Amino acid sequence: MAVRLRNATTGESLPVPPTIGTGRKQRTRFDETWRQFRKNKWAMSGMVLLIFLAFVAIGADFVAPEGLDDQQLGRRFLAPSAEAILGTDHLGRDILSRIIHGSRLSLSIGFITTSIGLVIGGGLGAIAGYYGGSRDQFIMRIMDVILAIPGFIFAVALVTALGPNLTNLMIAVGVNSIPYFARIIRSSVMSVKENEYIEAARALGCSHTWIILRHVIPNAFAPILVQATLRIGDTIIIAAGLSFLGLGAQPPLPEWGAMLSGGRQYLRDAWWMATFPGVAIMFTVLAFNLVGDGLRDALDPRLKN
Amino acid sequence: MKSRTFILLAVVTLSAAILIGCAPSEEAAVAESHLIVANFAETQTMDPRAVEDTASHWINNQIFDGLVRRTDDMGVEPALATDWSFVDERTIEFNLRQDVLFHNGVEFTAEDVKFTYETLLDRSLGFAGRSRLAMIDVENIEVIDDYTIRIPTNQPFAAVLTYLAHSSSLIVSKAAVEEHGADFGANPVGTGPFKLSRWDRGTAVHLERFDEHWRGPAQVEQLTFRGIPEGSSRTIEVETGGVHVAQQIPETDFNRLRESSSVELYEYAAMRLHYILFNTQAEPFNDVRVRQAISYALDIEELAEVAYGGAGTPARGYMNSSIWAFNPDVYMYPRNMDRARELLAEAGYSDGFRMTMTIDDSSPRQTIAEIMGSQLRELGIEIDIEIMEWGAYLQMTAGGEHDMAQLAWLASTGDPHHALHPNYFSGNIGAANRSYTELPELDELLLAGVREPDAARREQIYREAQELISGFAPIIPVADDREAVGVRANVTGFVPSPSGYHMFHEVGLN
Amino acid sequence: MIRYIFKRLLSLIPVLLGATFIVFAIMFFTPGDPATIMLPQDATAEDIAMMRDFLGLNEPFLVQYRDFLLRLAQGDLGNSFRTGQSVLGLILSRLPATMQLATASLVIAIMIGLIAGVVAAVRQYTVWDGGAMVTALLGVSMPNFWLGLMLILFFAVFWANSFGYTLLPASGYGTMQHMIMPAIVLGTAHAAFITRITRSSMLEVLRQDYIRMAKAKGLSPFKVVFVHALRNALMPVVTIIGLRFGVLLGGSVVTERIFAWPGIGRLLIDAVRAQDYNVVQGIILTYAIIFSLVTLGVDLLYSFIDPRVKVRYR
Repeated sequence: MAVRLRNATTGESLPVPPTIGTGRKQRTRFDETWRQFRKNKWAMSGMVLLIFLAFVAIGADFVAPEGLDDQQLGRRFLAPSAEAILGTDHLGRDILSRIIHGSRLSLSIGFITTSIGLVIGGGLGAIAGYYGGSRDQFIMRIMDVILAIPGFIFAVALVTALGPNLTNLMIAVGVNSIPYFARIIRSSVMSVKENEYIEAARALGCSHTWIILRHVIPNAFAPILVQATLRIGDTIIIAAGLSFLGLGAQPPLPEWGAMLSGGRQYLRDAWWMATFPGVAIMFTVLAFNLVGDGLRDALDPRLKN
Repeated sequence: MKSRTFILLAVVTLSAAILIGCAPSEEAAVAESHLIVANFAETQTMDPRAVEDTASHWINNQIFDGLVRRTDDMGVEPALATDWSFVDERTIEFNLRQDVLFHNGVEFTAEDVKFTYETLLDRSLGFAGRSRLAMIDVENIEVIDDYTIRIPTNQPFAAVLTYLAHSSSLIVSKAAVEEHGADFGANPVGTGPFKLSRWDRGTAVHLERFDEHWRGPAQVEQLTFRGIPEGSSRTIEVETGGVHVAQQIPETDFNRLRESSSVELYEYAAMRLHYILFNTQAEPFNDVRVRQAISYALDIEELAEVAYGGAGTPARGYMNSSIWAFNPDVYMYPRNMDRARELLAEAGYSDGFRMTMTIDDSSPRQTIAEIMGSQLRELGIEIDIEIMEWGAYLQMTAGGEHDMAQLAWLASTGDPHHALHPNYFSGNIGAANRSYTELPELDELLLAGVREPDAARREQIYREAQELISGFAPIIPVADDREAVGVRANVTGFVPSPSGYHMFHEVGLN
Repeated sequence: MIRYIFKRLLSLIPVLLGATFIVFAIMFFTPGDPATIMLPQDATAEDIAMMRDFLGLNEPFLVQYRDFLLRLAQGDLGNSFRTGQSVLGLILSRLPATMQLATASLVIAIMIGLIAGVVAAVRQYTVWDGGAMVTALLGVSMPNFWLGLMLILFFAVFWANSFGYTLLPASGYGTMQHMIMPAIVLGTAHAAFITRITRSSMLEVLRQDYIRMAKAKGLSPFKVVFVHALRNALMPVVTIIGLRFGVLLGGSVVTERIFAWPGIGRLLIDAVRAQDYNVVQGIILTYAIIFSLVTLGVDLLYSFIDPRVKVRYR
């Protein structure tokens, strides 16, 4: 039985289009996606890795052998050994512990920056795609302008202007994602809005905002979810790159890019300082890429090979 | 139609090959009298008046001469001037060498000196080196004849010669500046032992021997400065023979080069002091007891060792210890946590407080800030570390918006006036006096010191000044800088200069 | 076609102007100022004010931006605050190094990516396919500055520590050897992307009837794959190369910094730090122009690869 939408003026009820999260039809689509996803062993291994990372990040205080700033100047530059599995840094801090505490930062950076891009960029894209016309022109020309500046370079300039710290880093990387999501969501919205059920809703006198939020966005959800997952991986790399240039987290925060950058000057004598944070970044981004790919294949079987 | 793909691929590959092939091939191996030097940054310009960075100054010192120059023990010796005398307490008269040619073949005269200083100090030209010679009364520079010139100062200035020996005071060719105008920095003409042959921007500056140099030709025919910003890359280059001399070897590589048979490590004390500073006019640091408490709480030896390693020795006083008139007897606040707690309690901060340590992105400063954060936690003092870009950092600390910060001071003239006056004279608040020190007695001493012509009395004045500073504790000195140059064993005649501007006139290759 | 190109070029102008405006605004509102950085640490407030005046930094924002536009209209990008040299000259002297690096890494990426992608598609579900996909996934997930450090660690540091000489120079510019590590670092992520796209695009094409037909006709498998299939699978590959060219340019900034490569990327970071507005502005404009031209080039390539696209021009 389909969900019914009651028209406020006439009291008539109408069949409404599929939207995620409500109704039986939805559940079957979700089930189908999950079934597809589960069959994909790459995607599943990414999922497992991601869940593992999430547990590590949430339970960092319990999982990590030491705190994030436990300096022991008596044991600087210990090579990986039983005492410190991944070695110690120039202040005698346990690198494994710092990487574990740092997972919180990297995951938050990934989620927050992507959310900034998704909400602002998505909003702008939805408006542009739904209304079209001059609003579309205006918004998308601004997006073109931002896109004309290579993203990383734009972020460098922006963080420098705002002042290098974690918050501003996230703002810069988030702003960087805005045009990216604006474009994707605009085109999804444009294809969705041609559907009959949108016309029907409009004919019934639903407000534009209602239509966008209730019908258009949920139906453009699949590609957005895929792109957002893949984007999280990208933003983690961009953020680490900015930190590497000294434009990121303030010490003693164990941000992976900053740890890597700090280990660079000791590369010849303490290779572990720069190596392991990089490995951590790589596996985290890998997890998001695997899950993103898997979602794309599961949600859009046409793309599946 | 089907061949289109191939054409496409072929075009891409071919154009790439052409582009790559265009890369200028590096100087074939190393000609016998071609010395290659690794500088720690690329040069900005070869106009000595326009730069304030040591990497460019080093190169400029090979191309230009000053009236006088620093000796290796930081005295002053004749260069383009043969001798000098004070006409009155404000005016110094120089006799100039009569056998000096510029690289363009034009003879050097007093007019070039006058022109150099007049343009350097002309505010409308905006040269960065201007403030270094701000004491010169430029309106009244007087050319007596081609080889005699009188240079007056605005007020009696005992240390004027050391300032004239500074790299900002190198003499440029008037004729060449008038010919090249704004492009002089890419077409430098001086009297030094080397002249520019080619500048590969961003990569290297190639100099060649100037055979008519007044001290006789240099040992090597060609001298190349490569800009290699990454410290360990400089070490690897000098170890593997890619360069003969590598400036500023990172401290982590000192031992490796000390043990090397093919490379010799020259270590020397540089005239720079690394220090932590308080804003002495901001709560709670306007209370001297708080400043003293923090001074007692830090282990300077440990900070210096961890942050600077071999590239610094723990500070011994309130200016760099290799500068003349250094006072080794000043009180240095040994580590004493009980005394620190007492002082904090007296000041009303027994529970500690929260403060911000502002730094630029230098890695030893980050290390110091992190260790301080952990050491001061014992006193209940919480430190937030704020990193800023250099320009914003300088502006903010000059404006007094900081709690604590870290800086280094290089008294490159080697004179105590240069070491103390900028940092502690109240008139320099808003400029280099970033601790906002305001002590009338100290101001008097610093003014007396620069006027006093008698060396022994001057020394006494500056020693007293350092004691006053110690009691006021506006800074926590951390380390005297040590630098090291890696030089391959087949290089002869290399003598490191404490200024860091090692000269290559007498350096040869075996 | 010419008219189309002309129209596209014309439409670039407002975008580029918009980009200069954004960059100008960002730099203008950055705390600190170039005068402070250029002068010695003991410069007085008066010295700094004088220098600001000299550099024209005391003018209001819009006046400065207008002056910039007026100069730009005459092809003048202004002079570097730090060194007084012309920005255009500075960029032109550094641009070849960046272009060499970008081209070299793109060529490496295209060659590796196409070959690996085609092999993976033709040998689907074999070890070849799995190996190529795992490698590509790692390549996409790896930060390039980390890869750079790892290469230096192996080819320069490890080698120098063990054998007393370096296999590849850790930094510098001029010879083929200097180019290898930076080009690999910059090209890896792109090789990985191209591999993935080529593979999926090839798989789709290989299923088409005309490929089966070609096989059935007895054409050599090599010819079928590389002539018929690859050509038709190339379109999405070209798209991804064009789209990701901006990422490549951004990546070159970090790569140039790690390897002391004398391109405009390193110049840009230095200029951003020294707040040398004119240089920053000039370089970002250069990047934007290159990127826009590449995008245009990619669009034109479509018609070269797939003649049906030509219809769009009218």
